Amino acid sequence: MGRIEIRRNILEANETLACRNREFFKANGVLVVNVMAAPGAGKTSTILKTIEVLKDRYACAVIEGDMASRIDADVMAERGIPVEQINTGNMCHLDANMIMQASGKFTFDTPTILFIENVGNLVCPSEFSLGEDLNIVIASTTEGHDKPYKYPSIYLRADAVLINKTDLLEAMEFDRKMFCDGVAAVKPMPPMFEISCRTGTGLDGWAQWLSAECERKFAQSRGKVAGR
Amino acid sequence: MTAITLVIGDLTSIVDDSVQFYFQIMTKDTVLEDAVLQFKRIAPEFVCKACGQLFSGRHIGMNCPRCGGKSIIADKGQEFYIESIEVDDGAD
Repeated sequence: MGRIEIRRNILEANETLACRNREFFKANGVLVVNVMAAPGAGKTSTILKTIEVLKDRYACAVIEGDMASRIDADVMAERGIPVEQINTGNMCHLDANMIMQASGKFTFDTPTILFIENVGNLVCPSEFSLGEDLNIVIASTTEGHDKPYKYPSIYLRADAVLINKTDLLEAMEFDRKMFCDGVAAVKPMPPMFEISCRTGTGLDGWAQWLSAECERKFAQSRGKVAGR
Repeated sequence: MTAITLVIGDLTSIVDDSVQFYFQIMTKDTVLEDAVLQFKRIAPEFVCKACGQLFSGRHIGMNCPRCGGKSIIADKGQEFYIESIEVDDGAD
């Protein structure tokens, strides 16, 4: 009986494609934001409201991921936002190959922020790199404050956490401290923004942080181009 | 092939029983039909970027237990790879 060392990553094929996506986005001056949340947390609303705040400063585009339907893509298209819909069938997450195919259909202005709305799910999207720059997790007060304890892996990847539906915070008896302690138990506290897409509260602070991240990436890209 | 050893970190969302379940479905009527999956689970370990302290487990606050630093990254626990396969090489 012979033992053969393999030591190969099982998600290697996805990682390779994610790296290729990352190079493609870098070359095209695109900052990619992977938006992850449970169904109904307000991913589409948050993306729409964020684009409203940032549209004068950056070109924006959206990739919508859902198991079925074009509902979210139609909402984006109605507002004139360039959008591609991915229907995953029975798959519960987006992967790098899907993003590679969808992103090839855009003509990117420079610089662009590309929002990828992942499939509503707090488990599997955290396992699959897409070639993104930032991973954003949106929690909502209606889900309850215990989610970071129950779904730690998604919070482990979060570069920023948004709490949406804060206009309902009191009615939902959302315990802010318990939620934050739960996130901090997984990783050092990432930037956190309390927002309400319904009232507009907190969106400016979040958009300001995001645009600072954009400037940092685009400055790096310009620096590299200039240094060649 | 008789055995495949998989290494899976506890910070991933990969469940041994599910992998086993689908492995059996996918390998039915193939050369891998009788192969055995062996799972090695890796407990999470974290490293402080400031002082290099290694520590295991999660705790509220997640600061470095040595220097109190907040810049902590997961060092172990995110693995998901095939470590080795065991094959019949014809030797007794």
